Amino acid sequence: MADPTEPVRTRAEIAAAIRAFSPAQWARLRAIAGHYHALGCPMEAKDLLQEAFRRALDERSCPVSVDIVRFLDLAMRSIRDGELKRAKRRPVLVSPSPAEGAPAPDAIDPAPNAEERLTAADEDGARERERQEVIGLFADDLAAQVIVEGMMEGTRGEDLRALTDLDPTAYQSKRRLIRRRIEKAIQGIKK
Amino acid sequence: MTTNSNDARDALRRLADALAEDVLSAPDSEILEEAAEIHGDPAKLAADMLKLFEQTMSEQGKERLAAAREAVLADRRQPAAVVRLPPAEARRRLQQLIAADPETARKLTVAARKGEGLSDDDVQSMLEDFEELGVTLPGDTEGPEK
Repeated sequence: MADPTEPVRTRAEIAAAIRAFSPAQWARLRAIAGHYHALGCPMEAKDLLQEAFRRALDERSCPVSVDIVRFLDLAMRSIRDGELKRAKRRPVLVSPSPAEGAPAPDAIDPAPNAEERLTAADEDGARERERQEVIGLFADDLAAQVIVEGMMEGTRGEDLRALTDLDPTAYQSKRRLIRRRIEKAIQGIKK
Repeated sequence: MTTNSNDARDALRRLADALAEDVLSAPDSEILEEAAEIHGDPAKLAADMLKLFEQTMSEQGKERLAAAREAVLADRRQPAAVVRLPPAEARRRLQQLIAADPETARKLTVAARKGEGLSDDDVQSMLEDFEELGVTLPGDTEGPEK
């Protein structure tokens, strides 16, 4: 839980910290944005980063104890979650029949029409295919597949390792393999 | 295991979050190695990312400037706040201003210079003219007392 009394960085301090990023810090940010985009966020990685910069500078409070890369990661996560929620709601603008001679105001119709239902079904189908494709990347490696499915379920830490017979070192190495394989697959899709 | 589309969306989201955690906790050497494999030279990636950040800052700066400009214009469109002094005080102030700035006073009619035959509205109007001309009394900071 954030301490409400903790001082926060000023806009200038946040900008200065970002300008002083090392290549590794920039690489982390780029990798994270790539993962969010490739795994469901409708915004391109660069757009996601730019929006995170904007919010980090003008909207969000950054306590002095929070690492700036983590702070930007949380901003991207929040943007991604907002985009996903919006995609789920899918409100539609319709024009109700106007009273005679009166212009009809636009209104939100929560019930999608047939075409919109088809589009939504296409999107849902695409997400499910993506999920299957990611799992399929590890068809040759049962332990990795179990870990990936566990991550998808929200299992974490020791509970996740306990799903496999791996010791901590082998487990870390497996997680690294998972990350690299997914990153390479993302690049493959883009090329 | 996941069974429907919303679950699929959430499953991908949770996987992305877990991978992001791994990226945040991995050592620099690992991250740089991976970046080199995917994006080429990490120094160039860093330069491109910094450029993206500066571009965002610049766009934000322009937006802020435009907003500030709009605020100034909106302020100018507002009618100036006119402070109406009590008639006696207004006449006293007018005489003081005329005495303090003979140059401007010379442009006024004799009646106006003496403050004779002027209605309260005339006096108020002349005070506003003085204020617009920037004629103030010693001790005024922002024109007549408000």
